[in-house]
Amino acid sequence: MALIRAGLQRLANVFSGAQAGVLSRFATHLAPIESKSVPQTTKDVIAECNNLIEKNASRNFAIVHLLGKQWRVTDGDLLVIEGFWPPTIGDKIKLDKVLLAGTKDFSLIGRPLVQPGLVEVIATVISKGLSHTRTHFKKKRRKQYMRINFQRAPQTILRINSVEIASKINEAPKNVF
Amino acid sequence: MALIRRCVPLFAKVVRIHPVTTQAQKIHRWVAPTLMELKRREKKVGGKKINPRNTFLEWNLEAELYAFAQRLNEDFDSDLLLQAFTDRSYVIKEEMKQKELEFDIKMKDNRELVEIGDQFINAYIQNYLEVVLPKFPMEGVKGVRKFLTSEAILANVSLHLGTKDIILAAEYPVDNFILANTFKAIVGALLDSSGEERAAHFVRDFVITQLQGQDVNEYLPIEDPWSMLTSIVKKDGTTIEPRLIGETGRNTLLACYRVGLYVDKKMVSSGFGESVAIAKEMAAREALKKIFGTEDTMKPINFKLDGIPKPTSQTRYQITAS
Amino acid sequence: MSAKHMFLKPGFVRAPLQNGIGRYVCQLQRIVLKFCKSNGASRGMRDFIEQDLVDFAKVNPGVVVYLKPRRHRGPVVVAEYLNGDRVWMSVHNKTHAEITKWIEVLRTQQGNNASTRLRKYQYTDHPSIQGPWTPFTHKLPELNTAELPNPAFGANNRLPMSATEQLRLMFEAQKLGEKSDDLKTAE
Repeated sequence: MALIRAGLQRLANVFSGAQAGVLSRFATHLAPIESKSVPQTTKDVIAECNNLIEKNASRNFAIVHLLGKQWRVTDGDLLVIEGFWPPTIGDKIKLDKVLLAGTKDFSLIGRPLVQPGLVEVIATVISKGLSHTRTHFKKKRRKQYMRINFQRAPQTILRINSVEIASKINEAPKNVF
Repeated sequence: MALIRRCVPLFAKVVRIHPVTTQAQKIHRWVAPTLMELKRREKKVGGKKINPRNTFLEWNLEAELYAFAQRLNEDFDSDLLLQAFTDRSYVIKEEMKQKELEFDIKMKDNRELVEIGDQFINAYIQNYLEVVLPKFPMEGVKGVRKFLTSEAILANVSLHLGTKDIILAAEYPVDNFILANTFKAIVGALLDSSGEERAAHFVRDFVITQLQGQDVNEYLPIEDPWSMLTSIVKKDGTTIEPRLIGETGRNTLLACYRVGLYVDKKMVSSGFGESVAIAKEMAAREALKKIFGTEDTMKPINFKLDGIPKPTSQTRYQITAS
Repeated sequence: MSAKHMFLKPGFVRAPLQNGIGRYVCQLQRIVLKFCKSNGASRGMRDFIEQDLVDFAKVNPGVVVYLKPRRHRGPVVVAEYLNGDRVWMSVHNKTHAEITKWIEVLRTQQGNNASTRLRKYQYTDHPSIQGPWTPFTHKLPELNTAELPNPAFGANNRLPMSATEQLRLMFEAQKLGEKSDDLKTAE
């Protein structure tokens, strides 16, 4: 279940007005915060977020967990992952460990992960090679101690194809795993 | 060997200048002077000579053409593909050679295919952009299309598809014009051999994806955003009001102003600038981007549209004043 | 050997031709295997050619494979990539298994990775989606028209009440019992 943190009541008011004109749709209604009860606010915010998800009008980003590291990804990003990793070139993979996802207007924060299946991050493996040669050189003066090692780590380059919020917030979780 | 023999007096000279005493570590003091001399001579001759890849012993044109099609996952008619790679300059050169040896084999160059490919690329990209940027003005769409079909972009695409070595041309390395032409010819050949849809997907996957990471607004030159915005807003019968909503560092070198634009007392956009006029202009640009659906946080351009898209948009704004 | 690697050209992550956004294209263009038919140093290479090469060519139809037998010279693999890189690798005395692995590396990488030291491990065209922070973000609009200094905006209401202030309030309250005067606080 994702905890929703947004510009709480402010966001509930966004897009609610329906005035004439081209630009009125884009107006950000910075109305003063009304005094509503908390459950009502929560409901409004979730409804508004679901509305935004349905419109799907902005770029999304997500923070994914991959091989012990966290990456902030959005469409078209390139990631370099170091270490042994089985996927080979040309593979399309889905990054499932999503810690946080967001659009322009709201963020979904997982604790620790957002609901499985809520956010879909698709990536393509475009290159698997070795890094440049790293030199590990150690020396202690006057102690007859010197070590030199060379190593190259496996590197995988990933292209993020899309970050999508696939279903609505607060819907029953689909069993995706 | 001859080279070394030629360098010997040079070493002698070097040795004379730096009398070598017995060195504890064997530092090769001759390396740098020798390299410098070699570089100097190479420059004198006129740069490094690049041998064409297709004159190497390990070269098989047929295999290269087969692999080219396989790599891109396309089915080409092999004769057409060879024709697409044959530049006019190569045909002329071959004909001259044949005249000397007095025999005659007809060769086809790729001029027709270039023509077909060029038309198809332009038409398809125009349609595609009109579909994926439904509110962007026509001038902007045209600008983006011009960028995508420019010689530099097509030559870059062509180069990265591996045509550089395969192209049959009089010169090597081939210039951007020939590279771009070859790409167009390849599209023409694909159009003939696999049909419109495959060719369209080919152009989409290799040309339109070059828009990734580009800001499309750069291809729509707007001289006076404020008057454009007011003219658009006037059509809708509303007025737009700029307001100074923030400032710091007035009367300093690092002054910063923030201007917001309001419609019916609701903020639609804001912009920053080192003077109020610039901030207002930036705010107007921001508002225009919102109208055109190309703001910085717009949904990424869809690079996966199938088939040949048909533009059906009526909501596009016409630019009349500017 | 080490000094050569210490002054590597630094670079950033890039993919040739926006690879992976449209269709994926394997970046290895052609591979040339040079070997000797009799020299022992080419033994592993010969084994590879005999056992695995046909399968390799079948699985990767987009890679042109050339064989170049040469007498009494060491075995070499040369890989050429679509971005123009050329990787030359000596496989002198390497076993069949080692050569298989190295050729797999050459096949899957997208250029000459060894020639650049990556300075960043991520590349993005959109560093901020919700907008970067500016000093104007979340600033009260009323501050624009306020005449400063203004007690409404300038009051220090972040510190807890001090002991002196508490004492003073208690004293005032005590006095209040005696005199019905209105209470004045520091704020």
